Amino acid sequence: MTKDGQAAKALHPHNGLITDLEHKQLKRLEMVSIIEATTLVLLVFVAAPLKHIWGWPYGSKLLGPIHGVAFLAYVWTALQTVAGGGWHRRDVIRLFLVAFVPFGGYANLRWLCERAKSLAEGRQAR
Amino acid sequence: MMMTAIYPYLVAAHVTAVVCLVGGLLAQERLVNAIAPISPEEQAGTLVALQRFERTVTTPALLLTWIFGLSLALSAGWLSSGWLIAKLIVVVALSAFHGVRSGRIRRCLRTGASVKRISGADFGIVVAMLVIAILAIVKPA
Repeated sequence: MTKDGQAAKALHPHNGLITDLEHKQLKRLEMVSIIEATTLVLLVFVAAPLKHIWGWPYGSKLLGPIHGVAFLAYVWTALQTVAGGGWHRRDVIRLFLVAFVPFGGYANLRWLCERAKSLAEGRQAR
Repeated sequence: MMMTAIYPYLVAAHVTAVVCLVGGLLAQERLVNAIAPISPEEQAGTLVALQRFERTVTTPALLLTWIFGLSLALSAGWLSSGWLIAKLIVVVALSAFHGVRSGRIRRCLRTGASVKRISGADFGIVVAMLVIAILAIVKPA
């Protein structure tokens, strides 16, 4: 049993909730990542061409603020996840950089899934 | 015309969300200060309650604060105003503080470590709120 596992077991009254916290946090980050990536792709590949090629500005007027809120939500959730500890500096930089790249959020998904999976396996091993 | 009609309701919704957020942050910080000296085992129950409080009150309040605040700024055309940019810097700092604090609470619950107080954080929250209120009400040029 790892040191983390022993410490979590020591807090026995809330043990189920505590061991589940990190998994839920990763799932939340995954969900926000999908929303942020989707709004960015729609903004760049649908709303922007509609505005600049066909002169229809309403798509970007609607999607701009929605993507703004989604971007803030992603950065905030990433910060909250990283503040929970156990992340390498390289992973932290990657987590924040992908927010600026179209399709970057989708690239996050597999990585976050693997991280959640290894967390679940670690939990089962205990 | 329509934006003028919903403006006061947007302000009311924004202020309500801000009150819940800042009140929640202050309560969270005071509680952390109160339990910081005791052992991690004794802290666990309070930390679980704080984590639930963050999930159900302060984080939704933070999201709503941003949504209503940005809606107000867009509808009134304030996005390029100096006072709003200054206010946004303080709000981003407050939001980041909330993210870091909730992450640390989760880390303490996971590792069994003792939660540490951040000295001056509660005072900082009050000062940040005062600066935000002055910038939003006075709107200096």
